[in-house]
Amino acid sequence: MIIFALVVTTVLGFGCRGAGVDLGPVFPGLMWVSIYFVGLFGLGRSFSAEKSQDTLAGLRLVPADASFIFLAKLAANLIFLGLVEVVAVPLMFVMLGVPFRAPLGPFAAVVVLGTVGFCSVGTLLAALAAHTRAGEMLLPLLVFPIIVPAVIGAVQATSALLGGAGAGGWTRWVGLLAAYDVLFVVVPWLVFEYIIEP
Amino acid sequence: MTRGRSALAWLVFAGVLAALFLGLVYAPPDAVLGETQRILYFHVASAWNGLLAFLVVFVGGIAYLATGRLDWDRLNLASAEVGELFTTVAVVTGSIWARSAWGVWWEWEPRLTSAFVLWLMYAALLLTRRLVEEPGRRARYTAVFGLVAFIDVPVVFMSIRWWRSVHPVVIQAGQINLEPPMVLALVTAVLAFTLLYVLLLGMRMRLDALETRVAELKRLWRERREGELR
Repeated sequence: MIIFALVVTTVLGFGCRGAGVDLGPVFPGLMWVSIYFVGLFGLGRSFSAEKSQDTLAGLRLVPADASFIFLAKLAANLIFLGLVEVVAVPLMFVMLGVPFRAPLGPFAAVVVLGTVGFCSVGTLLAALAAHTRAGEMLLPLLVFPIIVPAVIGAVQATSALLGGAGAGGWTRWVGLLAAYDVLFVVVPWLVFEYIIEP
Repeated sequence: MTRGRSALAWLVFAGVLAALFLGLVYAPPDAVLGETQRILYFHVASAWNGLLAFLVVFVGGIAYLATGRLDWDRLNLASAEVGELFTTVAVVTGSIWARSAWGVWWEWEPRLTSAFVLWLMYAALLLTRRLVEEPGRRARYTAVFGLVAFIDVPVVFMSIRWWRSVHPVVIQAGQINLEPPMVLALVTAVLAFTLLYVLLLGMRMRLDALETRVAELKRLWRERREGELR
C-alpha cells in the first residue's frame, strides 16, 4: 500500500509539477484523493482472504458478538492506513513542493478523523462487497457516495489549516468530521452482523 | 390489471395531464427566468419522489431485517428502481435548468450535487443486487446499504451546503417567487408524480412476483423431467 501511495504521488508530481503549476490550492484535494484511493485498495483486501479461504465461519465461532469482528477489522484497517499516511503524507508535501505551515496537532487530528470515518464505512462495505461477484470493483462505487461528507470535511479542514483562502474556520469542518465519524462508526457496528450472516 | 390498479392508472393519467397543463400553460412565466422556469414543476416533483422512494427503501430494509420476509425485499427492489428513474429525471432536468438559468450544464450547487450523490447511491444499490444471486443475502445487503445510505442523505446535503456557502457561488441560484398559480401547478405536479410513483411501484412489484413464480415453475418442471428420465 505504501508503494501504491508513492506511485500515486509520483504520477501527480509528473503530471502537475512538471507543468510549473503551483499545487498549493489543490493540494488538500490531491492529498485526500490519494489517501482514499490507497485506502480503498487496502480495504478491498481485508475481506477477500476471508472469502476465498472461507475463514469467516471460523471467526464467527468466537464466543462474542459478531460486531467484534467488525471492530477488529476496523482496527486493522486503521493501523494499516495510518502507517501509510505517516509515510506518504509528508512525502507528498515534499515531492509536490507544498510548504507545511499548519499547527501539527489540529492537522494530525484532521487526518485521524478523516481516516476513521472512511475506514469504518469502508470496512462494513468491504465485507458486503467481498460476497458479491466482482466485489473489489464494486467497493469504490459503494463507498464513495457514503463518504462524501467526510471528503468535504477533510479537504476543507486541511485547506483551512494550510492557510488556503476561503475555507472558513477549520473548527466547523472538524465538527462535521467528528459528527460523521460518530454516526458512521456506530451504525456500521450495529448492522455488521447482518452482512456476515451465512 | 386489477380494477384498483386500473383506476389508479387513469387517475395518474389525469393528474399528469393536469400537471402538464397547469405547469406549461396556466402558470405565468417567471419574472426573472421566463419560460424556462417551468421545468421547476417537474424537476421538484421528480426529486421529491426520488427521496420518497429512498425513504421507502430505508423503511423496507428495516422491516426486512426485522421480519426476514422477502416481500419487503420485493418492495425495496421496486422502490429502488423507480426511485433511480425519478432521480435520473431530477438530475437531468436540474442540469437543463442550470444550463438555461446559469449558462453551465453543471454547477456544484447543493441540491444538484446532493441529487447526483443520491443517484450514485441508488446505482450502487442496484448494481450490488445484480451481483448477488442468493435471495436472502441479496435482500440483506440491500437492506443494510439502503439503511446506511439513507442515514447519510441529510449529512451529505448539509455538508455540501456548508461547503458551497463558504465559497459563494458567483451565479446565484435563481430566486423563484411563487405566485398562487405557480404554487397550484407545483403542488399538482408533485401529487401527480407521487401517484405515478405508487403506480410504477405496484407494477414493478407485480412483475417481480411473476418472475419469481416463473422461476419456481421452471424449477419444478425441470425436477419433474429429471424424475421421469430416471
